[in-house]
Amino acid sequence: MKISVNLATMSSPRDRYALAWALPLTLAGAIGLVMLSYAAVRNYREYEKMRKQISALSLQKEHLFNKENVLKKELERPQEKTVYRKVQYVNGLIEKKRFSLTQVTESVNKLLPPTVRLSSMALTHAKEATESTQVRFIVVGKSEEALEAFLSNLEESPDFQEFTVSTQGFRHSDAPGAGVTISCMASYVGHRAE
Amino acid sequence: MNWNSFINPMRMVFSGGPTRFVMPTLAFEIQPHFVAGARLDSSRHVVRRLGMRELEANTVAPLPNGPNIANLENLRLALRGVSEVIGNGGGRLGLLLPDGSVRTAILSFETLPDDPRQVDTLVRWRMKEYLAYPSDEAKVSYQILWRDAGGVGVMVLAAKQSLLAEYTDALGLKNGGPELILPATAALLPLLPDADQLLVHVCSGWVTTTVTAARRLALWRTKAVDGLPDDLANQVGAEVTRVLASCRDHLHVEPEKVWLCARGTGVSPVSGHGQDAHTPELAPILAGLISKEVTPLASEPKWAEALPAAEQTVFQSVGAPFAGLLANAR
Repeated sequence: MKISVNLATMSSPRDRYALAWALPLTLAGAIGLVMLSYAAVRNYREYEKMRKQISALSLQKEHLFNKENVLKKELERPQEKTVYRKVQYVNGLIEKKRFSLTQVTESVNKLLPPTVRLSSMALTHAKEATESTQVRFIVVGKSEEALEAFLSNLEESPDFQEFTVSTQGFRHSDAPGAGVTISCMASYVGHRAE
Repeated sequence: MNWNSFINPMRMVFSGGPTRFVMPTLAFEIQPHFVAGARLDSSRHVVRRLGMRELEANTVAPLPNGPNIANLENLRLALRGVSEVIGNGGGRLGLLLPDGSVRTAILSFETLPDDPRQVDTLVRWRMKEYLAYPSDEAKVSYQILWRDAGGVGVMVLAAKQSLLAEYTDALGLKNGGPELILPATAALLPLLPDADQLLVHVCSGWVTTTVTAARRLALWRTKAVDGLPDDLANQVGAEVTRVLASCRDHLHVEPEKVWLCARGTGVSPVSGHGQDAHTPELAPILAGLISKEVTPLASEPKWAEALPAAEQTVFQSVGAPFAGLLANAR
């Protein structure tokens, strides 16, 4: 009969190797501690630097915010509002003065093919300086092809934008020698380019 | 998924766990009448060197509870003498103790838990009735003998830790302790053939009887024997008769063979009376007393073939447990 009992006290691997591992582990721990300390100091310095920068930016932001508030308050005073309205009015006059009807007519004429003529033209001034001037005109052509060429030129012209045809389809005039009439509208931006 | 099958072995490895048999390179046996030591070659399964020194009376008194070594200087002197013969070079050290110093019990359980720590607690709890001291003070080792539908059979060895420390200190080791500690009779068990057997081990005032049935250790009994040399045989005979009767009545086993291993000369540690307990003389007397054939537990000659001629005689006298250690490792 085989026996497997034993009353001896066997030391566990933990007990057997504890002493052998103690020195290298202590050394590794010390190295790790030094590295962690170094990293902590470096991170703290970086943090301090960033904190100072953020603090300076916050001060600057606060200063600008205060300045903005002062300016807003100044602008909200009645006399400043009057000045603002007057400035707007002057800007509108300048805008109107820059606009030339002859120039508009010339721009439209450049777009007209030989067989098309300008019948009438009307202008609508913009209420705000930022808005465009609307031009409404009626052209008469000898043929539909001539009008199509005009419309094509109008569309490609840099002086006009937002081109729309007002009349719904082509209209033939009964007068002798007359062709096809079309009414259209566009925003004139030619004076801005100058 | 059941992780216990993985966790329990790992826990055993890292926490030390129950100690298992370790084949020693050097083995010492301390008995009340003598100290023996052997250098074992586990690769060739032979005893290389063997030494023995007799002990003065009252040097060692094997009791399960309380100090065993009464004269440490004498014991150390004898151990040094043995060491000079077998050498004290490195290697695993084994220590065989008197049977009287160790409590051995065969316990049966309905079932055992998987966790070794729970088994240890359960075994200690059951061993309380066998121990004369708190079970927490004992070093316990167990071996599962059988596990079937009827339950689990466990052989348990228990020795007081302070007592083990006494013997370990006597060896004078500077680093650690022995890697194997067993009662001497446990080392004889591997020499028994697989059948229903009764082993009688008489040694230095103690007799231990063990019964194996169906390849299982079914009984272990250790008793102090006292008296004059003539009376020793009668006491051993009475003990063996009681054991045989118990086998028939309780285990329903009739051992096929009775094996005898009698060792040790000197004075009874209990009474101080002289004893002479060698197997060749005791075997026929015991056979007459129990009316059954008694076979000497002889070690195979091959165990001792590497020994010098002078040491072969010592081997025949006291070397059986060392042969048992080699047989267990085979």
